[in-house]
This record gives sequence, structure tokens and C-alpha cells, in this order.
Amino acid sequence: MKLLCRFYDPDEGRISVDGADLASLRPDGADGWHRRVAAVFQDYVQFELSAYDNVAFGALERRGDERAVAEAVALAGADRVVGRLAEGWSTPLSRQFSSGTQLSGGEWQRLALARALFAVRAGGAGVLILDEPTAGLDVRGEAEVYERFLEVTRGTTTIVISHRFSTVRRVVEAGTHAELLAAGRVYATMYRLQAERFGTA
Amino acid sequence: MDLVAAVPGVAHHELSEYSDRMELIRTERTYLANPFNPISWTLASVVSTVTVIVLLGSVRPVLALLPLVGLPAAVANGRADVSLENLLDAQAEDNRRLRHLLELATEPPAAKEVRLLGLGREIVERHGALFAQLERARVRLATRNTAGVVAAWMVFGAGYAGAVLWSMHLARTGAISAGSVLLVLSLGAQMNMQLAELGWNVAWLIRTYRAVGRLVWLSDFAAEAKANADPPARRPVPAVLRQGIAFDSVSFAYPGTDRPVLHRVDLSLPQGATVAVVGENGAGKTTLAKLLVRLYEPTSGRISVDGTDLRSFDIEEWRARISAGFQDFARFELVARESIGVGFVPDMASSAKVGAALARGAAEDLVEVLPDGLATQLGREFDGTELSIGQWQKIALGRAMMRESPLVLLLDEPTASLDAPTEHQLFERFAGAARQVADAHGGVTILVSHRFSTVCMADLIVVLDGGAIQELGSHDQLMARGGRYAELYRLQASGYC
Ligand SMILES: Nc1ncnc2c1ncn2[C@@H]1O[C@H](COP(=O)(O)OP(=O)(O)OP(=O)(O)O)[C@@H](O)[C@H]1O
Ligand SMILES: [Mg+2]
Repeated sequence: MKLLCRFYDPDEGRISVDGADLASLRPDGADGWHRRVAAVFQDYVQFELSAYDNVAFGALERRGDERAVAEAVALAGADRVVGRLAEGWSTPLSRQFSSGTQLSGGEWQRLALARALFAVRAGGAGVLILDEPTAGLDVRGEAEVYERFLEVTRGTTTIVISHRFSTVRRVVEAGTHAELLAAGRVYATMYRLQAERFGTA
Repeated sequence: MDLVAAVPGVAHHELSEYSDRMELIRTERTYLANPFNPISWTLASVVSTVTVIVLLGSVRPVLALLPLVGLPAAVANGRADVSLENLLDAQAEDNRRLRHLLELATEPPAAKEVRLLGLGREIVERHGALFAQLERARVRLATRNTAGVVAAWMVFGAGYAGAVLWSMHLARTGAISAGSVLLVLSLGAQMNMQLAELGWNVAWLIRTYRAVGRLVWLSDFAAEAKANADPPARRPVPAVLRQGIAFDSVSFAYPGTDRPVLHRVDLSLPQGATVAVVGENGAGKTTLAKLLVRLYEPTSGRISVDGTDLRSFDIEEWRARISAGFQDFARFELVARESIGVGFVPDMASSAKVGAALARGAAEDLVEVLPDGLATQLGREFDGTELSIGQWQKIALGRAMMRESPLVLLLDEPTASLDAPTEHQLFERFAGAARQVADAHGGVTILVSHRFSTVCMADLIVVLDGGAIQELGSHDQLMARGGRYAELYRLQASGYC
């Protein structure tokens, strides 16, 4: 994943984008590779700035577009979080600042998702990487992410890294769910382990 | 800084007023080194000023008024000092903002996201702009102060020149001796120094007085917090739970806010029970756990253990009987054995006990991954092995499992970053650990989780919604009820085809 973000280049082999070697693309700059990738890292950043900045930072050049920011927030199910804030958008997200507040774990994660969505929708990122994007989300949030989120990012290459196979089922990667299950290797064992506890495997 | 550690709970770290004052206490500690210094220095300059006045008066009584023209200078000097301090006071919060921006730009955890988002320049610009704004305010003040001081000195200069000229005139007419002129000349010059000193000393006195005031505020704060935390009727923490833990109409709003996060929660956790707490993001699950650990005190209502108010326990004694793993677990960059062992320091040195704790947390495989086993230095800071987030979480789980028989075992989303086999193992052992907790001391196990596959194993399930209890019961009861829990359970189970 760090390779894909081009923090490092591979020692061997190559990653190609539409046929072009990734290593030959510029990482930074207006037309750089980083602009085309959006990610929710497992240890996403909690910016102790306003709630608005936390989302708008997904695509700096479009940060003035309040409607697009609000849309991304709604899609990530973070609108209720923002609705609860005493000063709405401009509330600083840290108790260290006057009129600031602290969010719960899941609320922070929803903002991080909104940030990535804003990068895709407003910033035009074509690759979306989600590393354990629902680890802290409640049941509804988790379901929504995979129903709604993946819907709105259609046309974007989305890579989900997850330990939860209920998630992977909905994402088609190197093989479909059925293929992998039939192959009966690590994947199937792990999947059954999780499903068993629901008594449905 | 002992006082800071003496304030129980964490509530105070979240008040911006507290942060401001702490910052000032930290930067102005020097004023507290010896609060009697400014007093004696001020007295000394008062005495020498009075001497000068008396001497001048002996030449001609009106000359005793000469210090009056120097008064504006003294005031201006003192004022400049005090106003500068007020400004720094006002800038404390923005200085914390600067620090956060700097961290974003330089600290490794944020670095990769900041780089991917291309935020580097934005953050540097914000830092620069804020810094410049603060600097401008400081320069503006300094300029204004300097102008005031210069003007005041000009007043003094004019007065001084006038006095000298007048005494020369008197000497020429023979009214006073030439020696007296010299006396006026030198006393005036000396007064120049003395008044400046007087101004500074008074300002120093004011600063010290304020710094002492803040320190008094802090020790009052600590005393008050302690008084709230430890009401007089101190009771020992029971060795064994006989009934359980009860929440009686507990409401809570975070200090400094008025939005209630918990509303009149009534809940009874019977001894030996395994309790799962579920609910939407922001429902108040972590908050409930924090109240139980006494990181905060309820705003109203009370929590009791076998009928005894939680507040009548010594806070340290109570915490010594709790094992807790929190959502935002800490990453202690120590040697692995210590990073786990800090969960119960007395057993930290014993590799066997630390290993057993890992096993209880289904995390023993971690040791095989670490190059030097439990002796591996963790974290990049000290050139150690950097762990993945899931691995850090295993360390945290081991830490939570260090105490063998706590009265409360509290796990707040302990598996969010774990893979499937680990999650599975953990839950089987977790049930074992829970039984052990129950058998040994009637302890209660509390699990906060969004994973219903685990939650359904609990004896009692609490569904929180918007800070209030919505449903309560066992898995079977709640499923039969067909309410919120059943709905959410099905929603998640549908993910397992
Ligand atoms: N330190 C704090 N100061 C002010 N408000 C806070 C603080 N911590 C949490 N809150 C607010 O209190 C509410 C409850 O937070 P809590 O952390 O208990 O939620 P939670 O149920 O654990 O959620 P999650 O599932 O996301 O972990 C949230 O709306 C949150 O924004
Ligand atoms: Mg929580």
C-alpha cells in the first residue's frame, strides 16, 4: 500500500498505471500521482483544526466548495456528527481550544472517510485505498460504507484492506468471493471462522 | 509539577482555561523561584528613592517634587512589562495551535497522510501566518510601549533640565551653594536609574503576585478535585464482589460543556457477569467506561459497588482493581515486556506472567514475530521494531490482561484492528478470562464492541442510544423482542452469507 502511494518504489517488479510505470510518474505537484490517490489509513490523522478543515483537506484546491464538502460529509454519514457540534463546521476538534470539543472514535473515523470521499468527488482522485475503514464504525455505519460509499465511488478503483470478510464479500478484488471460497485456502478458513459465530456458515 | 499529577482524572486536561494557565505556570516558573526577591528589591528601590527625595528637599523644598516628573517614566516602564505579560497570556491558546501545526508537519504518524494530501505547504503557510500574526501583535505592543516610555522620559528630561537650570540660577544669585547644584545634578541623574528600577521592580512584583495566584489556583483546583474525588467517608474497596456494580440515574456532561452525553442511566451489573455495551458512534459507550474507571465523575446520580458509592474509594485503590483496554490504546515505545507489563508493574519483571497475560489476550503469537521476543525494543523512536496497528493492539490487550483477578475487566473495542483468527481466539479465551474474573472475585467483565458476533456471547447486553439505555437483556431475550438489537444483529449477520 505504501508502494501504491509511492512513498517507496518497489525493489523489484513494477506497478503500472494504464500501462505507464508508476515509478516514472511524479509523486507531488498539481498533476502528480498523489493527487490521483485518496486513502483512509488505519491510523488516519485527527487534525485538531475545524471540522470543516478535516474534510476539506481531502482536496485543498476545492476547499472553498462548501456544497461539495457537505455532500461528502453526508455520504460518509458524518452529518449527524457535525450537526451535534456547538459551532457547527467551525468547531475546533480539540478540547485544548476554547469552544473546542472531542469526538468519539467512530465519529473521527467518519470524518476521515468524508475526507477521502471529498478527495474522490471534488479532487478527482481515481484510486481509493481504504485500510480498515470501518474498524471503529457502528453496524449501520459499516453497512452504509459498503452499500453507499462504494456506490458513489463507482468508476474509481477502490482497494479495501480489511480483516472483516463480511466486507470483502462486497468488494471484488483478485478473485470473487465464491472463487476464493472454492479454492478453500486461508481465505475460506478465515471466512468460516467469522461466519460460524453467526451460525450461518 | 507534582500538583498536576495530584489532580485525579483527566477532566482538567480538557479545559482550555486549564491548559492556558498550565502553560503560563510552566513558562513563568522562574518568577516563583523566590517570591521574596521582588518584594525586597522593591523595598530597596523605595528606600533609595525616598533618600533622594529627602536630600533634594534639603536643597529647596520644591525640588523634592522633582521625582514627580519622573513618575510617568516609572509607570510607563512598569506598564510596558505588565501589558507584555497580558499579551503573552492571551496568546497561549494560539501557541498551542502553532505547536499542533508543527507536529502535523514534522511527526511521522501524520506524515504519510499529510504528504499524500499535499498538505505540507498549506500547513507551513498556516503556521507562518499565525506566527506572523502573533509576532505582529507583539511588535505592535512593543512599539506602543517604547513610544510611551520615550515620551515619559522626555517629561522627566524636561523636568530635570528645568531643575538644574533653576538651581544654577539660584546659585548665581547666591541663594544656594555651587555644591548644591552638583548635588541636584547628580541626584537627578541617579533618580533616572532609580525610577526605572522602581518601575521594573513593581512590575516584577505584579508578575510574581500573578504567578503565585495561578499556583494557588492550581493547588485549589487540585484540592477541590481531590475533595470531590475523595469524600471524607473513605471506605476500602471490597476484596470480592457480592452483589455487583450499579448505576443510579447517572447523567454526565463533559466538563466545560453543557451537552449531556449520558442521561439518567440506570444499570445494574451483577457480580460475575459478562456485559456487552453496544450502540451507535457517539452513543456514550466509551464515556460510560470512563466514568467507571473514574476518569470523570458523574454530573448527577451515582455509581455504587456492592452498595458503596464509588467516590468513597481511594481512587488509586479502585483503579488497582481494574484492568482496562481502551479504544485509543497507548503505544509505549519500550521493551516489549515492559510495554505489556506496565499493565501491572509488580509483575512486569516476570516473563512468565507477561507471557501468561499475552496468552489471556490471545496475543502470544506476537512473541514469535518479535526478533528478540519479549526483549525487543518497540517503536522507531529508539531504533526498535515498528509494529503494525494490529500488533500494537495485541500489546495493549496483553497490558489489559496483566492483572490476574481484577474486579472489573473493561475492554473498549479490543478487536477493531485484529484479523479473523485472532478475533476468534480472543473471544474464546476472553470468555475464559471472564469466567476467571468471575470465579476469583465475582468481578464484572465489560466489553464495548460493534461486532455482534462477540457481543452475543455476553450474559447481559446494553443497547445505548443517544446516551440513554434503549434495550437491556440477553441475546435471546433481545432477539425475541425484535427491537433495535435484533435489527442491528441481522444487519451485520447478513454480511455473512
Ligand atoms: N472529551 C470530550 N469532551 C467533549 N465531548 C466529548 C468528549 N469525548 C467524547 N465526547 C462526545 O461525547 C459523545 C459520546 O462519546 P463516546 O466516546 O462515549 O462515544 P462512543 O459511544 O464510545 O462512540 P464510538 O462508537 O464512536 O466509540 C460523542 O458525541 C462525543 O463527541
Ligand atoms: Mg467509543
